[in-house]
Amino acid sequence: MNLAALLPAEILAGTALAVLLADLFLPHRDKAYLGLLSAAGLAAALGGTARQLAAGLHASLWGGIFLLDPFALFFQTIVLGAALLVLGVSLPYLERWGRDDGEFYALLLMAVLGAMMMVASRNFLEIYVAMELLSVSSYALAGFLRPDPRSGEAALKYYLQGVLASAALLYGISLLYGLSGSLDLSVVGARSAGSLGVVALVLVAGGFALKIAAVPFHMWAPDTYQGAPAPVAAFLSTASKAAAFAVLARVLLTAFPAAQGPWQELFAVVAAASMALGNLAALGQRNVRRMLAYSSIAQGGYVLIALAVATPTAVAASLFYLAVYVFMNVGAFSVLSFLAGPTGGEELADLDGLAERRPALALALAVFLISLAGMPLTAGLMGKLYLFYAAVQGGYAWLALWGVVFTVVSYFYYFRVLRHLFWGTAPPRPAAPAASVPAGLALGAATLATVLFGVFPQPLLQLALHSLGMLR
Amino acid sequence: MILFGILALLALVFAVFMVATRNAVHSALFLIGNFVILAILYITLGAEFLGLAQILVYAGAVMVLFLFVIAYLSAGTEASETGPALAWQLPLGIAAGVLSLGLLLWGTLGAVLTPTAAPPHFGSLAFLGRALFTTYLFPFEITAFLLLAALVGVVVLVRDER
Amino acid sequence: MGWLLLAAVGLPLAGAPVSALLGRRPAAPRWPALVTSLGSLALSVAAALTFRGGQPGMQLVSRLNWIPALGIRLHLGVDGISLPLLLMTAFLAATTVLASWGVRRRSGEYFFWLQLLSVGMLGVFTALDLFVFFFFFELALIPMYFLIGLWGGPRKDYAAMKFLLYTGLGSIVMFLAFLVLRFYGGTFDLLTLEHTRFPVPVQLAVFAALFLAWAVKTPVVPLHTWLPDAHVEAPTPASMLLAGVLLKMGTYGLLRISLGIFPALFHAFAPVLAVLAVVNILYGALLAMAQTDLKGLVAYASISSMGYILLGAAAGTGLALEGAVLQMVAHGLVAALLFLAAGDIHELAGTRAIPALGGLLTRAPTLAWLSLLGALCYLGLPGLAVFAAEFPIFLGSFAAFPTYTVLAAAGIVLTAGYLLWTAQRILFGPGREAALLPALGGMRLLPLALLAASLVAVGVYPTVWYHLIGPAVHLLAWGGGAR
Repeated sequence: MNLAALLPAEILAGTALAVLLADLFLPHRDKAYLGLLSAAGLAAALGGTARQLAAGLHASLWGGIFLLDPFALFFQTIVLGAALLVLGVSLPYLERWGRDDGEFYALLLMAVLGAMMMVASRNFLEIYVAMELLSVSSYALAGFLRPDPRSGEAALKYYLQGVLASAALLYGISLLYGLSGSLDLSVVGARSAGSLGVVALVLVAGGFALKIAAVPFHMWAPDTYQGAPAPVAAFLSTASKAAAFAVLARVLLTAFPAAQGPWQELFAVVAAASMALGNLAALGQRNVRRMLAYSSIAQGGYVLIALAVATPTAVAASLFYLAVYVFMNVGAFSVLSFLAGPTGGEELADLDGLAERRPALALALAVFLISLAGMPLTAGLMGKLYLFYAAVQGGYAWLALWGVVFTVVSYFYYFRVLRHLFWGTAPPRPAAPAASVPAGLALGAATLATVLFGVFPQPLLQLALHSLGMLR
Repeated sequence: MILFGILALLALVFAVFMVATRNAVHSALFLIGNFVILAILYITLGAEFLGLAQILVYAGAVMVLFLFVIAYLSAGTEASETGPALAWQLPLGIAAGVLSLGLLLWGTLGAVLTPTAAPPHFGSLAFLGRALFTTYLFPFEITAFLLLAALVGVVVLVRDER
Repeated sequence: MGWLLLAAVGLPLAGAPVSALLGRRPAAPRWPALVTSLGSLALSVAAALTFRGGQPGMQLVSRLNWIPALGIRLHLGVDGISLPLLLMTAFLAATTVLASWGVRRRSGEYFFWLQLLSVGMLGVFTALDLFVFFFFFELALIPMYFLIGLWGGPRKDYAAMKFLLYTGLGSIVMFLAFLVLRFYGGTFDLLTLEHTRFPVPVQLAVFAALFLAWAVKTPVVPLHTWLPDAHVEAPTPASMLLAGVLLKMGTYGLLRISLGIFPALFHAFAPVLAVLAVVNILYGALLAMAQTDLKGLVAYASISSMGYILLGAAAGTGLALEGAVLQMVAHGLVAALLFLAAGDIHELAGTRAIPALGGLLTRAPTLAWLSLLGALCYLGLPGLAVFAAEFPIFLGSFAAFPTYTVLAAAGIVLTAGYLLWTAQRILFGPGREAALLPALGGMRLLPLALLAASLVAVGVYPTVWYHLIGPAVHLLAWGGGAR
């Protein structure tokens, strides 16, 4: 057994424990070191995972329960990268709220650990346990600023709907186990034909769809993204979503290959509904964070096109899209995290004239939003190009048409924010706090990556294509 | 089969009463009843350890804690208040319920079942222990982290602000 | 020599961030813009000199791998249709920088967007890969949104958003059509797709989607409503580029892509296009008459003028197509001149309301004479650019659509009517505006003079242009054959 393959996960787990322990002994003014320690752990894990990915590692552990293949490693890299960006932004954010405690970092690391395990699971038991680790940590993170009632509400809503989803997932798994006598993904599908298998599949998919915030399991997202600490919203909308998508894709494509079930049509409907509802609901939002939440539902819809189409090209497209989506969405939430004070500050009007007050922040937000809208020179366009092309190629041209129509709808709300940023006039207000070094690094990296992958998408596309070994 | 039917029906009745009653203590007692029936179900299905653990941990320890908290908070006398239900939610809830039930019935009635024999000693303590510490060692360890995360989460969510 | 085009397109892209970074000193960012726009112009002229006229087909071709995973190449090249447009665009881009010389408010951002816009415009006319074409087409959208929004008039929010949504819808539908072409044709390469046969339903669907994209951009009535709003609210240099270049992207796409890939379908569609063209001409002219805002007048006049290009395209004779291509160039130059003049008049008089203006000839003689020259050119005075383009259109179209051509010629009369009437009201007669007119400096008149000179140059000696355009469009011509 190749335990060295698990080194990144071990580093992460160790860092989480170390942060919790060190938290007990550090005086309050030194808590920032915990953040740096966590960042070091994450960076080390990221480096290790990226190296494994580059080396094309393919390791099966514990009799196939745990599979580190390029697909898993790709998503692990996404999750770790997202977490590192989120962490960079969290440092000044928590400091401003006076909540820079070690627990935040420990919970974040454990959530990442859960996500990492999730995407590398080939066994339903492992999937469930890992997803619960991600979920439980996320609930606590969402409510981390609990004295603020909105944060409490965010945690509660996420928790209640999350528990429901877990129950559905568990029920689905138990049905599958009953049908097949196994929890192994490669065995379950073949023995789970028939109507009960369909019911089980729907339940399992529902459990994951909640994390993706796909319609009709999206209802928690606006309140949670709006109320949770901004960096946590960034994490939930990217890393958590990507991990759930990865598991869903793996379950569907390895356990229930496309020929076996009606799930392609099911996901076509879910994707279409997510695009429509997310984009239309975002039009009316005055609160930018809430608008981003609906936008994130819509973006989830674009990615789900891949599961409806279910061709290797489509799945590769979703990998690419999720990877660049991390940069643009974490980036957008991060910029908001700099602006918000305890009294809000995330309404459209609060962004008025930001370009003159904080040109760098405004520029970064503009890049992220233009990318989310899918405009040239940004990674978002390349993602949409690949996804929609895969849809056309896979015989789902109507879904691509649906997608482009709602892309135009999305122009309205993304560019409305730009209007406020660049030519809104606002009464003079206290300057937003200066960004710290880690936050500046995170934001700069996200901006740069968004533009870079928009101009040179080839390496990432190549990587996404190579990470599909398991699906061929 | 008949025994299973009776037990399942009983479990359902307890569950319904648990939700329906307005007295928190009664609710808890019905829950205990439900747990006990479930434990018996486990044992009839050959999972002795799980059945016993169910009684010890859930019906025993957890429920004692529940009752203790209820008694501590409300002395068990007041019926819990229910807020005004939103009128439009009721038909929606019923529709969703009927839909789920329909889906389940459709799934169950149309199921093609190919029963597979359980491995020998399935559900026994030794079997469980071996599974947990060999095949499922890794999920088992993740569970440890899960509990840790839950613990930390609870501390974060309930502590007073300094 | 393929690098000439790459450099011409890429130069403004390099200059844009420089301008943005110099934004702290209001007078600095215009210099990189001037250098890159003049550089692009010089490179385009060099391309034209290298170009061997009298030959059909693409020249100065460059192919760079960009996204091999999807077979997308940075495939650039020009032929007799795109080279004149490239020259016109580069010339207008440089003129626009001169016309923006006085911009001081947030000049860093201004020249950043202006140069990015140039990249998009130059790129569209050189792209030979459909995705690259779409990329540049869409790239031109964002700068215009910002130019209107940041430096525009009172209703700029509405106008900018309307512009974005209308043209955004057009280009994204085009994007989807390109994806379908890619799927059935196996490539984004325009030159390969021209020789690909597609199933009929695909042809119909893609043709319709593409026509929607061109129709929004051109604009074809009734999809034109974004244009007057955008023009009236946009700052003068943005209006110049909008009318001068962006509208031509629509008609260029129509010829290059729709006619290039689906000739048979285009031929069948031509009668419908001819009707749309006549509607455009007459509707635009009638509404232009009713305008009281100078910019509104030029905006509707542009809708009318774009109709002639559509008519030429619909007629499909070699002569009509030649005229249509030259009309793109001529209208680009003259519309830019008129918008610039309208902007200058606005600045001098403090108003653009036609009834409030008068006596310009005595107060600002140079401006007035140059504007008059533009107006005379616009209504088709022989010896000036528009005549050189419209005359062949009429000659070439008469064979194919006599009735429509006569109706279109009636549009000329309307145009002459409203332009002369307007010129009479604002140039002659007593001065009515309250504000005193400060003198226009030489720097302010320079772009106007350059544009006027270009009108004369094209008009007096159009043979050079026809030598370029002829062989390329004769490949596409179908009705009537030779000129």
